[in-house]
Amino acid sequence: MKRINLFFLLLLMPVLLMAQTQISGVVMAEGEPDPVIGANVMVKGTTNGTITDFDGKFLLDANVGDILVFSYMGYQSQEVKASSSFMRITLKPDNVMLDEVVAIGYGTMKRSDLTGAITSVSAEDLNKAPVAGLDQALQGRAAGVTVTTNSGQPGEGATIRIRGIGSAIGGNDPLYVVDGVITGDIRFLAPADIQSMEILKDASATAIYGSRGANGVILVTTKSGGQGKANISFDAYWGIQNRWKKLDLMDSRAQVDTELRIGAMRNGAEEIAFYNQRGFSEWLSMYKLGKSPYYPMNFDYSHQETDWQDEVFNANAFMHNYTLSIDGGSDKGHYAFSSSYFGQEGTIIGSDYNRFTLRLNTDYKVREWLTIGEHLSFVSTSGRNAMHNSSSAGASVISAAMAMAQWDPVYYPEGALNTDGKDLSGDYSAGSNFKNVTNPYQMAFNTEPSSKSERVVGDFYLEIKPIEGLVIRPSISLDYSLNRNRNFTYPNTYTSYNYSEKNFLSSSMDRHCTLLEEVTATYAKKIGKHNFSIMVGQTWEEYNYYSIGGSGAQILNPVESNWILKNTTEDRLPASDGVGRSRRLAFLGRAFYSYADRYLITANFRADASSRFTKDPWGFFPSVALAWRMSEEAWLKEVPWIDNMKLRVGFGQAGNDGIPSGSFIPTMGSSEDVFYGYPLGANPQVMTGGAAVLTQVNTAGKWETNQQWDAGIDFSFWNGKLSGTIDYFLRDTKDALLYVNAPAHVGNRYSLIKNVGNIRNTGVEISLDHKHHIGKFHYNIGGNVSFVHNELTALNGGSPLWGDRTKTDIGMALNSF
Amino acid sequence: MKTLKYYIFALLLVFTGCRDYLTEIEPGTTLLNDFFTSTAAAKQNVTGCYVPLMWEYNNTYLSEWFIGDIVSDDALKGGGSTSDMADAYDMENWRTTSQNTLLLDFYRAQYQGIARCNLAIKYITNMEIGTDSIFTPTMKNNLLGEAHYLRAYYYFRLVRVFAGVPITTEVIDNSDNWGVPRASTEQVYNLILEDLTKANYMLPVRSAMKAEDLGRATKGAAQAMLLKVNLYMASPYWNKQLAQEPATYFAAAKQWGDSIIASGEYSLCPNYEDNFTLAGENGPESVFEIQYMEVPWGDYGEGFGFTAGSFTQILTRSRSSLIGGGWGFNHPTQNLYDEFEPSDIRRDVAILNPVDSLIETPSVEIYLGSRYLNNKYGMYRDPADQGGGYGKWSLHATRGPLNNRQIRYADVLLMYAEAALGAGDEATARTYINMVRTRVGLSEITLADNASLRHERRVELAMEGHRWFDLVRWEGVAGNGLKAHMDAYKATETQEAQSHIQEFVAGKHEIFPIPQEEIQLNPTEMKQDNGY
Repeated sequence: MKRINLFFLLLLMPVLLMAQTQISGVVMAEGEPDPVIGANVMVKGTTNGTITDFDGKFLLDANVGDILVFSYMGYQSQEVKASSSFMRITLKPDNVMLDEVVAIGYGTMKRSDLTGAITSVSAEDLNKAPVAGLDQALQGRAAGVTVTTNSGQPGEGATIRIRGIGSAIGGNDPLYVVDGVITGDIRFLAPADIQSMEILKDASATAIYGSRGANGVILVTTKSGGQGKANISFDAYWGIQNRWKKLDLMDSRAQVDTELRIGAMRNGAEEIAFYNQRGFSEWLSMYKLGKSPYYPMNFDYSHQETDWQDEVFNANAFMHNYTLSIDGGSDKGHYAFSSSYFGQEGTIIGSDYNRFTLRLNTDYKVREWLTIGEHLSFVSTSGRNAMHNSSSAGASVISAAMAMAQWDPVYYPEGALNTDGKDLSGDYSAGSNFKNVTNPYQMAFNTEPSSKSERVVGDFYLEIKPIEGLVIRPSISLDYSLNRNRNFTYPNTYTSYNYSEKNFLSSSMDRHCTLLEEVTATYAKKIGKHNFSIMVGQTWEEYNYYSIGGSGAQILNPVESNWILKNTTEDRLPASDGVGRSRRLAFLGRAFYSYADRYLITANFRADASSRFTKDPWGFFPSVALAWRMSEEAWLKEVPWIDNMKLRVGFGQAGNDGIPSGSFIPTMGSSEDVFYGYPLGANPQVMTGGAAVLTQVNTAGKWETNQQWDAGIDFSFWNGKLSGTIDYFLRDTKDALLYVNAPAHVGNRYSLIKNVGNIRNTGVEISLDHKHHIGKFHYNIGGNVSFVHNELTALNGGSPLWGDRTKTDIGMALNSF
Repeated sequence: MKTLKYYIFALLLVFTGCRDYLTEIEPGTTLLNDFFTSTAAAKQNVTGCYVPLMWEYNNTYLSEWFIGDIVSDDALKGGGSTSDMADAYDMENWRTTSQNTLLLDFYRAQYQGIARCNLAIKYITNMEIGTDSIFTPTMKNNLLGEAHYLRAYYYFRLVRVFAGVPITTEVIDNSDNWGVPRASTEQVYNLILEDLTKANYMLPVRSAMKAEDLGRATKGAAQAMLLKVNLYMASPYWNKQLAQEPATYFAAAKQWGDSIIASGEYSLCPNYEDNFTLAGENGPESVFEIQYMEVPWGDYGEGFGFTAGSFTQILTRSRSSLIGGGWGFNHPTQNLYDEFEPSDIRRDVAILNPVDSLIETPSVEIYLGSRYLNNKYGMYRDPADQGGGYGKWSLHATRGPLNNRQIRYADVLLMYAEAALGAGDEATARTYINMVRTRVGLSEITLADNASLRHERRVELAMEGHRWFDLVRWEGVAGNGLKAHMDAYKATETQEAQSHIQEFVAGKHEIFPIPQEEIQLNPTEMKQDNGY
């Protein structure tokens, strides 16, 4: 389901605090006849500033002798001492922002020194469309990154894929690293808090994240405080959302025709003859409704035409967002605080989402050689989740809407009586088309599902600089969340497959906690034209999970305030809990060397151990990348239209330990019910608990290895009028883990995980940027495109893999239908 | 710098300790090795070995007894139309291919049972006597006996449908060991005998069991199976694939029959019909039953193993809502109906011939000319509510609580008679055939021969899933080839039914093909060698 977000940007209020006498001037751009509109002019070391107007002019409260900073996107910043009360400034183009510092994982690097395939996305890019989450904001922003919005459920994360699908089991989600905190879910961030995002795509860049780098890494840097006085801003928007389009489904007439054709295959010509002779109502009654008490016998279906898609989508679903942020700082330290509220109605019935965030980033220079700092983020969300995440008609509002017959009403009208004489008026109608289709209204409103969660993500770090060029950085980070899910079901009689005579409540709570400790030491030195840096580090990490929940029926006074388990009086299930843990340990390192800023080499190494692989926990992930800045060569410097040109080639291995916990550990399952229990004893028998191994694990399982080659070129021509990046990559997953059916005599109930084959993703990524102006109007057109080809290239043992509805064989894409 | 040293030292500690740190078992996980630490746990594991017996597997509703009825001359597939459960239609009409999904699921289900038994045998064998106070040598034997019995049972289900199949007696938890060759028919039969012999030695007699254990395998059940399997091995179709002469197996069969009869543990129910009621479950005549029970509000998984009840009832019940509104499969044939002597009360127990007023839609309730219904299992209803005749059915919409009688004492007596006849002892054969006849008030026969024995087996066990497997092993009732028998039966069918039946190919259709998907999963070791 696609949807579009219509929005109004209604209010944007940067508040600036000012004083002093005034200096005015005009800002021009080199080689351009027209002045620059919107250039930033600031008094250095303060938050005092303004922007140039339509004539490129500015007026600023400042004194002669102050140092003014002029900056404009795509031009080099200039610092100029105010020598008179009128100034004329000409900015020089800075087409590639080569001196910009980008995050690369356990460190930073000048953009011009990069050797891997890394795409940066700025805050400006991200804030172009208002969305609940960053993942959605990434859509279309970077070549090789695919973003799919999963459903109309607000607050639901989008699916992100970087350079195709490399694993069938291990998951294909990229790794997120937010200010150094490793996490799988960035929904705790408000988009307004983001300073920048770096997307590490090739293995030479991601290998530093070892066992979790295989699917690419997204590094997120949140905003930290600037220098000078407090900068206070408040931002709000309101908007409405509507469904983008609906599927073209059959109307009643077409549906009847189809049903009759199916009926002819099943029952011969009899059904058609019956229909032609007796008409729609009698046919429906005979072949669909039968004598079931679930349908009213006196309702005229022939005049009903329900557009179920219109019924289940909310028109003009409202969303709104407010963000307050304050930041500032001095030579000693910086602070950035923000708080936001986001509320969204779902585009499908029965869904909504609210999010409140708090964020505080600070750092303080305790001594010349010691800085301490923290990033701390708290988020609280709540929402009502319509059942949405399945293609089965029994479990999804949208698929149920498509499966319902148009001749069924949403509610039965007044006077509708069933065969037993029961008054059905006002009840949600029963789907008469297929026996096990549930009316989507029944699905959305006979149950009251809700979830609440609180999450804290943060870190605390020290930066120790004992000698020039050496930085030791120990840190501890935490990702802690509590989620509460509650589902209250009203008593309802629906179909013989779906009814309950009692109200029912289930409630559960789960706790997730990841603690991560890291220490890195980085040493950088420049000797003449030789520039090098070395980083070594070590990390350990533990994730713990615990959940507990219970259920019961018959709350005597079932108003919402009483929806707690204590108030249930019947069918109580004892609390049941679940527990899980995983651990990781890693040693890592990086070496970088460049000569004359022209020839660059980066090597990464990471040794990673994971508790998921009990037999052999260690995996080793090396990478190396070379780059050549051709444009720095004397013979190319003479070509006037080339601003920058860099060739890159890299190779690396990364791993994927995202397999289900316990995949290779033989365990016994036991339970009283399905697959285990057997009735024993004299009649009536008693269901007797059994124990069995439903599926034998494969103790031969091991790490899958993700190996990637990347070759790319970065360029900028004609003073930045055309710039871009082209990358070719070859990503091989060796010993790919796939779910495989074992031969029957192994005795497995389900398929299991085996290192079976090689998966190859090849692709080309192109992103181009064109920047120019027409008169005073500056414009910038950017685009990116990527082509990925996914194929299973080898199968150990040679037998194709059969999924439930899919087949994978050599030469085919994963899970082809 | 000093702190750095400490840090490096700490790092080294972490590094040396990390292996334990990483391999320490996750909380909430029960390792296989840690599971078998009590009698209760071992017993649970053995209980789990029974579960695949009750699976009418996946969405397919295929039971072994359904094959036994519909493929034979006893029943037509039935259902809403010929295409309803097309895989069963193919099996009945000699159209089966190796793509048949019913057979695939059936094949896999048996091996899941076998794997459970293999695991139980391996780990319980390793448990030390005295693991807890009740883990005595007898307890250990009893538990292992059940597992051996069930493993033999699953292999027997496989061999009589597919002939030779891969044999596994070990736990396979490593994909390097997945390739297992298709064993010969003889190897499978010999494993079955070996397991059953152990089970006979290890299991308690029925009267020694606690009430709560009713339904578990017993010494009597093992002996009945030894009788049955030996009889199969003596029968011409199977014996041709074995080294020993029939006489050896007849003698062994008779000996096992002697044991079970001499045990005095079983007797015929005075009332034949009691064998097919809920109240009569696990009764005096019951040697082994697959247990089902009623869970009225559960079990809506439609066959994905989420079951306590059986689909057999709704599957075989009439489609007419006046008499149950089931799915109408498994219609007895006229050929079977006519086999009964006119005064044989067993006919109306096995077959319901509904009067016209009970039929609502003839086109779907009469299948290819047969209006008969399987009365033993399909038309089961709560005896307490028989006032109106067909009022109250099982509480569950699709699952019935009725156990499936796998081995009845009457079956044992007839098998014993057959073994005696094979060993040339006509008098004993006659005695036991007559024992079965007198129970239902029929006159005694004066001469026991193949014809009278095979007639008696057909009518006594009608619609209980035995017929097809008997016809195969006998090579037809007259012993002149299964093809001749099935062709003769075809001639008695309606024109309409005949039009669906394809040519029976001798040497092919006696058994079913190994599922193609399984051959693909085990390509170097599995061969389809019987004409499919």
